[in-house]
This record gives sequence, C-alpha cells and structure tokens, in this order.
Amino acid sequence: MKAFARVSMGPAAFAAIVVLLAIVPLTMPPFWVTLGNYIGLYSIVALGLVLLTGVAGQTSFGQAAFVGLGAYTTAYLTTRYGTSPWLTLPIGLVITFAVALFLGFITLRMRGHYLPLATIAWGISLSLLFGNLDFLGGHTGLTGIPPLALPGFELKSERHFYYLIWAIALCALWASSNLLDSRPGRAIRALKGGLEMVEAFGVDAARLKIVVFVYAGLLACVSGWLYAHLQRFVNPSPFGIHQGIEYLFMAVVGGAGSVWGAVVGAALITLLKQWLQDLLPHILGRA
Amino acid sequence: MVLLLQRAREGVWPWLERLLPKRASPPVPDAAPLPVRHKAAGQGARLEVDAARKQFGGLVAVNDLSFEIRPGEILGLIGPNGAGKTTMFNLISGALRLTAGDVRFCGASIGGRQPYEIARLGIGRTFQHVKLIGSMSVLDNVALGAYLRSEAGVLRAALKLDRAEEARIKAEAARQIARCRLDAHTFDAAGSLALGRQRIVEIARALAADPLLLLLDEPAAGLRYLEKQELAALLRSLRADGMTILLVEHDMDFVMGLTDRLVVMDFGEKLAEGLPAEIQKNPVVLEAYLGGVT
Repeated sequence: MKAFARVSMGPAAFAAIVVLLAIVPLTMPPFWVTLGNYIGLYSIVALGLVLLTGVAGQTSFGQAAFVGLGAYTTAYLTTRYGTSPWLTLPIGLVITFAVALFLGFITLRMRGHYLPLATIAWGISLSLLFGNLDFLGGHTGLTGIPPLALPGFELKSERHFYYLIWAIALCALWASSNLLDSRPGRAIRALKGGLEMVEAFGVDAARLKIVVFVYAGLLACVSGWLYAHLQRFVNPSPFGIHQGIEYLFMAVVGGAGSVWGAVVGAALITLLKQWLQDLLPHILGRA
Repeated sequence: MVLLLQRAREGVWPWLERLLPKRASPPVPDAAPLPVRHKAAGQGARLEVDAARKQFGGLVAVNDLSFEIRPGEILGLIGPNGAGKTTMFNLISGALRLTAGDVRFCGASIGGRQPYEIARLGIGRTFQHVKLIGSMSVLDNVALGAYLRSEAGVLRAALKLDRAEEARIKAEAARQIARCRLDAHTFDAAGSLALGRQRIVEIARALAADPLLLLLDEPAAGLRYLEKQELAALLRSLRADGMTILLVEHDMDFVMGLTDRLVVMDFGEKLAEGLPAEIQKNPVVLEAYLGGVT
C-alpha cells in the first residue's frame, strides 16, 4: 500500500497544494515570492535527480551543467541574435538532449564510484567552458536578456514569473509521477534490483538508464531557461559543481524515492540556507 | 545533513507522507487480456541441451552435458553443491555464454543469445536469491513481468496516454497473482512478505510474461516445510495447466515427489537420468550424494 501512495497523491491533496502555491504571491511580501521562485526552479532540477538518483540509482553531480546549457543557450541566442525566448527553449532542449545522450552514452556504463566521479568531471568541464568562451561573455557572463513576453504582456514582475515557474514545476511533477506509475516506470524502479533481473524480463537496461538521464537533463535545461529569463543575466558560477552538489542534496534530503521529495528538499535547502545566512553573522560576527 | 543521512535514508518526504491520510488501494479493475503467445503444440522437445560446455579458465564447470525437456513435464536438474547446476541454468537463461555446444528452444538455437532475447522467445525464470523490488507492491512487481507483452514508452506514460494498456497489464498481473493464490497480498510491499511467499511472487512475475518454459533456480532453498508444500502444490497446478518447468534443485526430498524425470549432475557431468524412483535406487547417485559412506 505504501508503494502506491508513494508515486501518486490524492486529487484532494494535489488541489490543496495548488491553492496554497497560488495564494503565496498574493499574500506574502516580495522576498518570499523570490524564495518561492528559486524553490520552484530548484524543484524542477531536483525532480530529475529524484528519478535519476533516487529511483534509477545513478548518482549525478553534474546536473547544474545542464541547467547552464539551458540558461546559456537562451542567453546567447536572445542577446546576440534577438531570437524569441519561446524559440530558444526548444533549441536548448535539443542541445541538451544531444549533450545528455552523448554524456549518458559514455558515462552510464560505469558503476560504483566511477559514475559519480565521471559526472563531477563533466560537470566541472562544462561550467569551465561557460566561463572561458569569449562569445559567452567569459566569467562576467551575459547581460540584457529580454524578459519573457506573451502578446501584449511582459513577464517582468517576479509575481507573474512565479506562476509560470510553478505551472511548469507542477506539470513536471505530474508527468514524472505518471511516468513512475507505468510500464517504463516499473522498469526504471526495478533497475535497483540489478541488471540481471530487469534483463530477464526483456528490459534493455543500458538504454533505459540513458533515457532517464536525458529526461533529468531536459528538466534541468527547462529550469535553466526559466532562470535566465528571471534573472535577465547569466554568469558561470550558478552552474558549477558546487551547485550540482546542492541539487543532489535537495533530492536526497527531500526523499530520493518520491517526486514530492524534490519540492520538499528544494524548499528545505533553500530556506535553511537563507536562515543560516541570517543567523550565522549574528553568532560568528560578534564572537 | 549527516544526521539526516544516518537517521532517514529515504529523506524527509516519507516522514511527511505519514502525516497525510492513507488512501486505500483501489481494486484492480478487470480488463481485456494482453496478447497471448501462440502455444506451439509441437511433439519435439521444448528445450534441448546439446553437449553444452562451460569453462572458467582451466575449470570445466559444465562438461559436454546433454538433456532435453519435453512439453508439459517438470524436469528436475539435481546434484550436490558445486555440481554445476546453476552454471547450466545460467547457460540456458543467457546469463552466461556457452564455451561450446548448443541450446535449442522449440528447435531454434538460443546459445549465445542475450537474456532479453531469450525472455522474448518465451523462457521465464526466477532467481536463486530473490530479486524483487521490496518497496514496490506485489502487483507492480508482477506487472514488470508483462513488460514484453506491452509497449508504452516514456512519453506516452508521462502524458498518461497509456491507461488502457496499463489497465490490461494490471489485470494480467492480478490474474497471475490469483493463479498463485497470493490475492491477499496484492497491494502489500513485496519486501514485507516471508521468503516463501516472495519466491511465489517471483513465479507469478515470470508467469506474467506468458512463458512456454519456466526455469526455477533452487526455489525451495531456505523454505520451511509448509512453504515447500505450498510451492510444490503450485508447481503441480501449473503443470496441470500445461506449463513446462525446469527445476534446478539441491533438495532431493522436494524434487522426488514432484518431478516427472530427473537429470543428476556431478562435477559438471551427467551422472544419471531417469524417473525419480529409478534415480533413488541408482548406486552411482547415492554415492555422489552420500560421499560413498554407504
């Protein structure tokens, strides 16, 4: 019975969460809306990691690099060529798809300690790449990214952006929990039982691992695209290995076995960081 | 953080989840059956092992072994520890590759094929060390067995366009669970069941793939007397339905009353073959099992 509740949630509980999320920008001060935005962005990335690490058992420290791919793709194309942000999202997804497919192909055959080490390696190299390519603005980054706009309406305010972020986050949560409770989802959950077992039922485990890896990469890319248009500015530091580790923290803290764990983890880590930043100067500053 | 990793490996969510009201699992609705394999009513052997040989370096684990399994019978492959039974099992299931010789299934060679290809052809298996996903319900574990009989991909699943097929998979899983008389545990986490029941869940999972041949790797190992009897009754009822079964087993008492024929292995070679009653009196077999003390 527990396993069922884990992948799906009652419609009533889901509706309650939606209502709760919807009233935050209406009632809370702007500071909380900003935090809510970040929690939403982080949740999307952590959700990919819940599937990849928590369910499929493949540890990745490099998710921040995929966030960077999404952010830099849109930043570069919109500032340099004036491409519409709605067009840069699919372009970013295609690029991430190709990169994730390639990285997944060469790293996911590794087991034990080697896989996390390999993800650290490409996580570092991608973020260094962002900082050292002149056309991407080097370590100063790219500024002047246009805001997202619907016909006759610009999503400039954080409150408006909040709704976009959480609409996407909830869609991702919905799709991911559907996925887990399905034929491929069962196979993904069974990967932990050993390759010999899943292959005895006709599952192509190597291919399935790459599929999950690409799925997690695409979620990270969407989060990066949102981030770039929320901040309207990108530089390499939020896409480094440090942030990659933080994403993994979120997935683990929240509960690496369930999709809602991603949201809980992202919220906890974000709030805790904020709280510690407020608190530590009080403790250490006077010492 | 460290405290959390030590105290709550699964993170904060399962703890929060306990605060939510529990929902009863809905009963599995009936749905149209999944496509069924054409049961070839061939007269020939279902499985032929033809001079199979497996060497690990200098060690010959299986030495030119030949035997066949006829449709609708339970064949027992027995022998003392280290006789090469499990190696032979893995050669059939595709987990290991033959050094020489061949294995034919319904007349077609399967030597050197990948495990998933062999599964596709209609050979179901269980594992010596139970390999279930403990956190998943019995229903989900069994439903995994029907993987090859369905086709929904990631995109269809994520957008919830797979519900019709999903209902058929679940209904099929529920049917196999009922066939194995595990209905009472359908929604329990597989890890919460006793070992004997878990072994039967593995059989239900293999049955969900609609196999023509069932390979069971030491299904009675570690079971209590009553559990063994339940298992034997299940295997008898499967045979009555026309299932062909290869039983690799260490426990002589268990196989004697159950199997139609026996193949006895020792040191990778075939020691004897015949009806259980003949094997029981065979002096060579007795010597191998009792170490020549008699």
